[in-house]
Amino acid sequence: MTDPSRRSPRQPHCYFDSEDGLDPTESEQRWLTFLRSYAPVAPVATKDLEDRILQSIQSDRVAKAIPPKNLIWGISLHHRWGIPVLAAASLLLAMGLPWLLTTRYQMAEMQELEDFLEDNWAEVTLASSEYL
Amino acid sequence: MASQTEVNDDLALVQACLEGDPRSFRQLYQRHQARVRSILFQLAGATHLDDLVQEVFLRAWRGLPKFQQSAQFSTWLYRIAWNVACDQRRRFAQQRQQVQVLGRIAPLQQEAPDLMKRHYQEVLQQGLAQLSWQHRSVLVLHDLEEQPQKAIADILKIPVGTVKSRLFHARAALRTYLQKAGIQP
Repeated sequence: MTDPSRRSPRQPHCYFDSEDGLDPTESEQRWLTFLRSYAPVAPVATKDLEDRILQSIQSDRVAKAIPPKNLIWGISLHHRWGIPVLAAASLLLAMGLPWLLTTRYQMAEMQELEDFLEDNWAEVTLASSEYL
Repeated sequence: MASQTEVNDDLALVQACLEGDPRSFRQLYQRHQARVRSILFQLAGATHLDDLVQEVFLRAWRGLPKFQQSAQFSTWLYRIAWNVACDQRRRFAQQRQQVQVLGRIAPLQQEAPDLMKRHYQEVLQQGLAQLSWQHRSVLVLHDLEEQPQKAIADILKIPVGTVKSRLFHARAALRTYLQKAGIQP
C-alpha cells in the first residue's frame, strides 16, 4: 500500500468516490474493506425507540397547537423584560395626564379671560366712568 | 449514495409530513435511522445513543418546514446528526474521556469470537477516537458511511477541496496509528 504521507498535501491523490467517476485503486479498496470490516458497529436500538420518537413528535404537534402556559397577559417569558417598562410607563402616564390636562385647561381658561377683557375693556371702563 | 428514486421518495414523504401526515415521518425514520444511528455512534460513542437518535429526528421534524426541497433530505438529516454529535461532544468535553467510553463499550457491543478480529476492532476504535474531530468526521462520513465528497461538503459546510484534504490527513493519521499498533491494513 502506498504511503499517503509521502505525497504532497497540496496534491491529494484520487480518493475513491463514485460520484467523481473515479475507480478506487487497489490499495484504497483494500483500505476501505479493512475499515468497513473492523469498524465498530452501533449497538441495536431499544425496541420502543421508533414509537418513542413518533410519540414525541405527536406531543410536539399538540404542544404547538396549545398556547404555552408561560404567558403573562399574552406576553411570553422571553419578553418579560417589557413588563416593568410597561408598568413604569403606565404609572408615568397616570401621574402626568391629570397635570397635563389641568395645565391645558388652566391655560385655555386664562386665554379666554384675556380675550374677554381685550374685547370688553373699553365698555367696562366706559360703564364704570358712567357710575362716577 | 441515494438513488434518484430514493431522493424523490424522500421528497414525497417530506411533502406528506408537511401536509400533516406523521405516518410519512415514520417511513422517513425507517429509511434513514440505521445510517443516522451509525454516524452518531462513530462520532459520539454509544452513551445515550438512543437519546441522540431521538434528538436528531425530533430536530428534523421541527425543521421540516424550513427544509429546502432542492437539497437532498438525507444530506440535510446527516447535517442534523452531525450537529447533534457536535453538541454531545461538547458535553463530553475531552477526547480522552471519549476514548475511555468507546473502550469500555467495545466488549459489550458485539459477539466477536475471533480474538484477532476483536483486537482489530478495538485498535480501530481507539485510532478513530484519537483523530481530531474534523478529520474523524470526514473519515467516518466518507470511508465508513460511504457518503460522496460533495455530500460531505454539504453536510459539513466546507469546500470539496477541504474534504479531500481532511480525508487525506485523516487516513494518513489513522494508518500511522494502526501501523504503530502492528496492523498493516
